[in-house]
Amino acid sequence: MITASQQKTITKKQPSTTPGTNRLWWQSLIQAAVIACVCIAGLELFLQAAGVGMEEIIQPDQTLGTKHIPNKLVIWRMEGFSRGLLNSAGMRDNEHPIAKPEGTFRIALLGDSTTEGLQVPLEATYGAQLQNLFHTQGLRTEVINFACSGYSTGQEVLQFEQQVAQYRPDLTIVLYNRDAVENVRKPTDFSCEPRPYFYLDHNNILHQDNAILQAYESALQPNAVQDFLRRNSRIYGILSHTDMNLSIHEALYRKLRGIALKPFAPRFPKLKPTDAPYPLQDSTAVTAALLERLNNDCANAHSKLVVVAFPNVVNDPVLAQQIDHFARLAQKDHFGWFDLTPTFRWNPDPMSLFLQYHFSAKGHRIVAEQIADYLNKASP
Amino acid sequence: MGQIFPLVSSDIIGTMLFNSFTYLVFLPLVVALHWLLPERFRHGLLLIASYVFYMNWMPSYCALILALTVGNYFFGLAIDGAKKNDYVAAGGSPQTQAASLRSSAAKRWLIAASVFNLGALCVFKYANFLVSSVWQTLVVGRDLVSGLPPAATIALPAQSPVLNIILPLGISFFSFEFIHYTVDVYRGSPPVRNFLHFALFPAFFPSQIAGPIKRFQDFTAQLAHKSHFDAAMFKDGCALIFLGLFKKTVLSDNLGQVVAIGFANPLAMGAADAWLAAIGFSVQLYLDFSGYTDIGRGSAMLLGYRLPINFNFPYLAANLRDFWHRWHISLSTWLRDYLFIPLGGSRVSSWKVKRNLIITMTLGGLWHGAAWHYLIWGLFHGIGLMLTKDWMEAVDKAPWLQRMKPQAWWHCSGVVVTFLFVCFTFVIFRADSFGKALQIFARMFCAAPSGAVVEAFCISTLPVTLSVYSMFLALEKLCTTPGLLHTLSAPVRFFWNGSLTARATVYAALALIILGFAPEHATPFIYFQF
Repeated sequence: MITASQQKTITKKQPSTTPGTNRLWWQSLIQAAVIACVCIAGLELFLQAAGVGMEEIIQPDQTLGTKHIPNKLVIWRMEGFSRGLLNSAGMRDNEHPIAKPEGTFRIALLGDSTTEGLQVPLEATYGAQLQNLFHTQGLRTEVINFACSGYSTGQEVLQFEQQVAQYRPDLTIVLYNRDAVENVRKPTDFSCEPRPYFYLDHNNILHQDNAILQAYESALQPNAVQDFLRRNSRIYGILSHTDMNLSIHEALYRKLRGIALKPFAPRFPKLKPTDAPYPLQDSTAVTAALLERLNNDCANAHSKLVVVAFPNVVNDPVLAQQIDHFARLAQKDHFGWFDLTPTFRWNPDPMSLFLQYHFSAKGHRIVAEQIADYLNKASP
Repeated sequence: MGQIFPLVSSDIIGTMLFNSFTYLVFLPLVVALHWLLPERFRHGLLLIASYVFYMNWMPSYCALILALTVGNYFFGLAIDGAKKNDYVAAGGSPQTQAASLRSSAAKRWLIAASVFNLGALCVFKYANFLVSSVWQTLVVGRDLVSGLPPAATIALPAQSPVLNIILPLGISFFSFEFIHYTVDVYRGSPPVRNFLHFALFPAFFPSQIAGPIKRFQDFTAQLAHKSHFDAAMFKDGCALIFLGLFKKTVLSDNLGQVVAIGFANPLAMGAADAWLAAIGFSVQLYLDFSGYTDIGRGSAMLLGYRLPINFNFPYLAANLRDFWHRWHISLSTWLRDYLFIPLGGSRVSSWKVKRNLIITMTLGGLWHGAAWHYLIWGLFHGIGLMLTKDWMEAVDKAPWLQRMKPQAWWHCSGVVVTFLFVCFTFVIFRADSFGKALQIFARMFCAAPSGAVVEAFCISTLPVTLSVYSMFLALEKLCTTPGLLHTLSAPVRFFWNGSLTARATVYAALALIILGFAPEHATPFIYFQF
């Protein structure tokens, strides 16, 4: 039973609970902030100790779309395992001076994740193994790996012009890996990755299409906070990696993400096929034109070009047709060409040469041996 | 559909896995709708959600669950009706009650129900196994009589004929639930008359694909009660889901990748590799299945339901009998109640008990999969249980052994021996064939140096995550048992229970850890294939 006096006391006390509630609200906010900070710091330390969340290797670039983050410590756990630092120029390689050492034969490797080889330790990549093979033959050779995950032939050509040429390589090797389709886009489709695209006009002259890069211009500009997080935060690395993977694999995630980010996404014009600035492109023809351009660039930089075809072990008819096309082009334009398919197919255990999509250490060794063999035969 | 945390598209797997992005969207949506809808619509919502969950894999097989549900619903009513009729016909005296239990009409209905359920299980799960076994027997027979003239020998196809049957997900689990239902109704439990409640019993999505094998009395009793949102249960459910995801994605999937290297090429393994693969698979299987059960139980708790526990630290069992009281508890109790006891249980002569153990465990092994190595695995466990029984009887008879029994080293050596036995038998369970299992056993005792399995383990995140998980288990145990740590941790537990912010932040951190440590490609839950 509550007596009347007690009732009065309770009633009297009621107004004084309001400041109390305010204090609790502030306390909760401070408590939340403190817990969040402690958790973030603890998590960052734990993830660093465990070597997780360090697979972020790419930063936006206004001309190439993406490029490696220089001096970034990378611990790679997808398909395989490797641990190492990207060099100060952003290559997955040791440091290389721009000036070529006297009497050294310099080889530049261009390509995508296959050449970058983050799935195996640096010394197991075919670039490093190629250098070792030449060293054992007593040749002073320096192999520089410029390859970057996800690069198309078009990006490789631009990379040569912007970065590689100044290293004055004597030989430039490109590993062509089914990426012709990444050099072109449907002229009315703006939902593709921000990178330079290419097209041939009616006179078969190659042009660069920067529409997507321009649309994402603000997103591709350097952002101090994001750059800091990209370089240093494992939590950022995990979130970015998850976002990328879900975007690739999950239709539902893509849909929900699209809805959520719609207000912030660049606005593209809705083009009818008749409004397209250029016709639909044949990706093989565009890639051939890009290889011709790269061959010219190499000649201007006093470098020889060799294009190596990714082994078509699964008998992909599109790749087979492209390999034929580029082989004829190599004969016509006098650049080096060879196909890894026969060597990989004749191997008694071809599956051991791959992890899943990328070369295993054994696969890298075979590629290095094949390239060395080809180069020895081409210029004994 | 795809897996969120392991980040593999479930287009490959084709079902809504508990660790899929789709489930991450599906579960909160169902939970929110469940608590927002008026009470009378909730069971209907759960049934629709459960069928949507199943249809995600193969819509046409929903008809199978529905057919089994309708069939068993009527079988239950028929058994009950036949028993009542016999009871009334016999005058309804208490003495006739027992007789009515053995009523011939009810028994006929029970047999029909069992044929119906086991028939579905046999057609969908064992048909190909039976066909290939018959074919192999005929081939062996033909080879034995190869000296006879060609006209006298059997013309057989070059390869075993394969029936184009896809194993329906979860059929082993819901078939057992239906068998339990009809047998219990026959034994005297009242049947479920509300069809919605009955339909939800096998279909309930948190336990639909891989159990735990529920008992209808517990489940329908929960359905009959008015469901009220219970914040404490909700919190426990969240914790269980996170724990389950951690076990599955961070530990089991990473271990699975290491183990797979060894089992793919046993001859390339050194001794350390073979031991690591064998122990690794035992740990993987436990984490995978208990992780699944945790997520299932957690999901059910978010909806206000409790599912039975399935694991109780099985690798701390001091003998094999104890192990089966702690491992896949819902299956082992089912096997006890509906196979071992009807065979005579342990109240028969000693050799009959042993026979019952062997039959129960061999059939239990075969329940896991239609292949000889599962059967052999079950047989080994039957023999193991038989030997355990003999050993325990011998200990009870020998006073000098009795004196040792209470000592710690006795218990510890029991744990080690049981764990090793379980690991060895799990090699048979995991290997593609018994021959491959023998190769692995041989590698365990060879002098070859360690190779790919040990290397893969060392460069993986497992040394860190397994240590963290072990520390968590030890701390949890110490903090919940009376003692210094229990007292010291009291304020932390009080804070944890009272602060939503603390829980939200810790769960967010845990989600990040799960995302960060999960391998690129995950496998579906191992028990999904059973």
